[in-house]
Amino acid sequence: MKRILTLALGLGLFFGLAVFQAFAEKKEEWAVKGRAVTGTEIIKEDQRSSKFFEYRDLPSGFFVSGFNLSLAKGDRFIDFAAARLGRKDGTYNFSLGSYGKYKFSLGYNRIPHAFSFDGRTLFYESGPGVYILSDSIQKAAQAAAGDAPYSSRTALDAAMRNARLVVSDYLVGATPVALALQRNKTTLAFNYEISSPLSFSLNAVREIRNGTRPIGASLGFSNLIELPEPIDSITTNIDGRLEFAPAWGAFQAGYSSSIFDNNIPTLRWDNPFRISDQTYDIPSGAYQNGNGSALGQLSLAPSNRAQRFYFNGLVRVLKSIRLQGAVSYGFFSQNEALLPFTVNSALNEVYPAATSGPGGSANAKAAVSTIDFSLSARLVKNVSLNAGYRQYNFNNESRERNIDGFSVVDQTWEATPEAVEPYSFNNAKLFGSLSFHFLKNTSLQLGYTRSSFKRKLGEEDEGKNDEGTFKASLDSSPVGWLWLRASFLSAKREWSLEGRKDIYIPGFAFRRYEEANRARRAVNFQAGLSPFNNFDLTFSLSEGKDNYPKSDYGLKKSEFQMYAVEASYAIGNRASVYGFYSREEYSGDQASRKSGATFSTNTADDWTAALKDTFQTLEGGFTADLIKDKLDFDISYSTSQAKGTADLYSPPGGDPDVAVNFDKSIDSTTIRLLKTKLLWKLGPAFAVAAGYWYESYTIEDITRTLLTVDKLLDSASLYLGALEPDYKYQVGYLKFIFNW
Amino acid sequence: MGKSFMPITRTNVLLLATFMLAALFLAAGAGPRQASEATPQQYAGIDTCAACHEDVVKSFRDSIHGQKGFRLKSDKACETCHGPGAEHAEAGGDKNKIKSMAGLSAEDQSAVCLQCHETGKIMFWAGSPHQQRGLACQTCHSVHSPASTETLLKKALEFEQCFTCHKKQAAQFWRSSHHPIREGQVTCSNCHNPHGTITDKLISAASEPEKCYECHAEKRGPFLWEHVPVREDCGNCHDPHGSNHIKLLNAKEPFLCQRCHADTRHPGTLYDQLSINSNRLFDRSCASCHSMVHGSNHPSGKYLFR
Repeated sequence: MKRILTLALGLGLFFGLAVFQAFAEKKEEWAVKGRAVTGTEIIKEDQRSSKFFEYRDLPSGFFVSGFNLSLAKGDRFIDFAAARLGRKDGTYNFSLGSYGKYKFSLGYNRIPHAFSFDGRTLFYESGPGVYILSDSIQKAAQAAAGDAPYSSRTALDAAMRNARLVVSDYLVGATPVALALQRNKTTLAFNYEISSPLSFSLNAVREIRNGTRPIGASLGFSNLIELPEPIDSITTNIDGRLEFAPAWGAFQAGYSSSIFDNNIPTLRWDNPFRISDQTYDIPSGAYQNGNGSALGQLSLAPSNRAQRFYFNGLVRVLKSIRLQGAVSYGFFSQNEALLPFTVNSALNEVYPAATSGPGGSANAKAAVSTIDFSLSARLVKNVSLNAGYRQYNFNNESRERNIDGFSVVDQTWEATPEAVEPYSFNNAKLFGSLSFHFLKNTSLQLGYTRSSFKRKLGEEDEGKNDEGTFKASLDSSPVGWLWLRASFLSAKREWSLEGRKDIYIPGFAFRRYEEANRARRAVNFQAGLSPFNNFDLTFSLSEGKDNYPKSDYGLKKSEFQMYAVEASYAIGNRASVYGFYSREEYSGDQASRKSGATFSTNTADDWTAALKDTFQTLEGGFTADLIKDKLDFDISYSTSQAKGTADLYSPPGGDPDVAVNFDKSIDSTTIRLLKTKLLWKLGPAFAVAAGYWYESYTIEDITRTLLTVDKLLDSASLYLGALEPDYKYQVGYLKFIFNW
Repeated sequence: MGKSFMPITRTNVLLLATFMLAALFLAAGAGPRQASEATPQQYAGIDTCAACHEDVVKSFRDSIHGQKGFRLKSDKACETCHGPGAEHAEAGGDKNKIKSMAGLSAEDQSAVCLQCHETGKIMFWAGSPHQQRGLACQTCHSVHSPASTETLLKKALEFEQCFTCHKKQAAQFWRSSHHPIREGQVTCSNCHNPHGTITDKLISAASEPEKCYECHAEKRGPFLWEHVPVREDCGNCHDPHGSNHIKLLNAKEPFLCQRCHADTRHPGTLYDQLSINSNRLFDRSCASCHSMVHGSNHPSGKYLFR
């Protein structure tokens, strides 16, 4: 609140001084224009949900939804514009300047992000990022579980169940927790035309983000804990550039910087099941059940920096030849102090430096560079060429670290030496296309792109992708009432390692899908018709398919189909009706094989999943000027239905023996919105609007709809119960609009 | 990277500099941007235009183009874009004797605007996808009857303009998991520059991840333990235009993760109706434990738990 008042005061002072100075000059009159929108709002909540308020603040009662003031004299101007004043989603912008000379803008933008109104937890935050429990809970659970060593895996499981029963009893006392963020963004922009071809611009954004959001803080498979992740960070982005734009080209030289400061880089939490540390050597026991440490600790996002110098150039060679180039060079870096391997003091018995090593800080740094140059030219009257080269290079310069081992979820020590290797990649492409212009407003474009993507992990070559992409498109508007757009894409991508292309693992062949061999096809078609002056019709059809021909496992195929129809019809000069409908279908086929600790060679252990998401979107509306220039009426309706399904299969005889399909769609949502408004213009200076809107949302999700805080007994998890449930809201408002 | 396709080496920088110098040399003979062969007598002046086109001239004067700053670029007002109009006026408004946008090709329509605007965010228009697909500035903008006063778009809201052609995104606008676009807090041009960029998909940053880092700087790292597909492209897992799955994911977890992680132990396990309560399927599935999925800065963060 203090920040808002300070900002409001600052803005007011600045604005007031500017206006005072403006009016102090008597020679020429200032033209003043403005608008204020105020009124009152009633909200009826049939089903409360954070989802309705996800990115907005909508209180009942009096509101000022807009205030604009513009002053202009000669080439000078002063503008102030605000929307949703005083609310958590308000925006405020002030600018002043002289057309063609300079412009200064200052903005303040607030964005809420609600995650859930239903979250509850037993934990409370004793300090930034530190969540603790009542000792009595931990002591009671530990007493129920007993201490290691356990005689067998069965005994361990029984002990864990006893502990969960104890903690479960406490969960009736879980207290509500706010799960929401607030982003407050201040923007500053300054553009100054130093002389006719030379200008300077500065843009800065500072965003303060506060709040919480759910985060998983696991202490093992059977000890999953969800906590409110504390968010307290500031991101500052600055970009300054000088531009020289003579008649024959344009050149920009600039510097940009981004600084992310996280004020809470560590999350630390109590284990509900223990109050003292222990370790034990039941095979896979501690790993499995996660009941060794009294505490857990994880590293949240590290504060980091990015900076870049860049140069962009454009040269107009003759009337129809353009040479363009851009180069940039910069760094990403972060040097956050490293946390110890674990906070479980008992693991020092296994590895003496478990709670003290490795020490030091991350000292991570990557050089990021780009090179781009291209040529665009009209070769002959009806043929144009576009060709160029682009490269993006991410070169991770962090030093490789070698560690003797590491802790797994603060429970066990994995005594396997590991190398923490920096990852780098390079993405380059050569491209060219020819455009043939024939008939009236008709062009055919044929293009080919050859790209390569190289990856490197530490000193190891991780392979290379080579992809050739052919594109063709036809765009035509032969007559005023018709336009057509069609495009076709065909691409083939191959993965190779040190020049060898055929080194997929025999018997279990797949690569990650972003680098696997891929054949891609895509078709788009769009047509627009205006057969009559008052009727427009648009039809769209899109289809895409990615096949991973060498991937027997992982993602094997993904497809996309869509069609859409849009129409609008003007009824005389004072009314119109419009409608939009689309249907989309996204599908993906994937395969895997169930294995234990070692890779299964039994093909009967294979399973497949065919996922499909289907969407239908319908919009329609009617708008009319009921009394010319006096009374306007609008009504619109939108609905979007989504349904996700999974078809699972496993051949009999293996593990799994058979796949049991879900008994309902895996996730489906429906959003409906009805809006209507009547606007009565009582004169040029005053209008009244009365409106009503209804919005509803339903969700069915096999993994989220039944989310509760206590899933300890059936899923060994302590959730926040952060639901985003169905809602039904009705909003009625009366607005008064003043213009001057 | 040492073996990159065209690494930043002294030789390559010299090559690039040579390319740019050659371009400058070639351009030395190019004419000024507003070169005109017309004589002053061929211009009618804005008041003459207003005699017949009163409404159009009024809308021009009220718009940003009608402000005094325009004169720093041109003192020809209407005739800056429409060419000399004296002959048109003398012929009683003969449409064949004036440059009308409707009669020009897309390229020539854009050329009118680019006289002044081929700078700043519009310097990479030539060769951009929209230019190559035959769009003109006037496809989206209207100088005389815009619906939005600041950017002179034909539609009142920016996303409405983009949705004129981009129907898939128009449908994704309504997804349950979305950026605050329909709430008016984010708009298309926050991420894209429709006038041309050096990056695919008209992203207004050096790469798609770098665009995302502008708001999600906590994901930038570099991290001690990187998650490789995350570093390369956020789009490997997320669809920024909207999704039916939480966090704008491309597919439901755990199946999304299992598209890459199909090997031993639980990544290769089938989670079906029988495991509906398993914490490896329920709620946020894999990310419930692997919560640092964008990269971990913890020495024990190999599995992205910490």
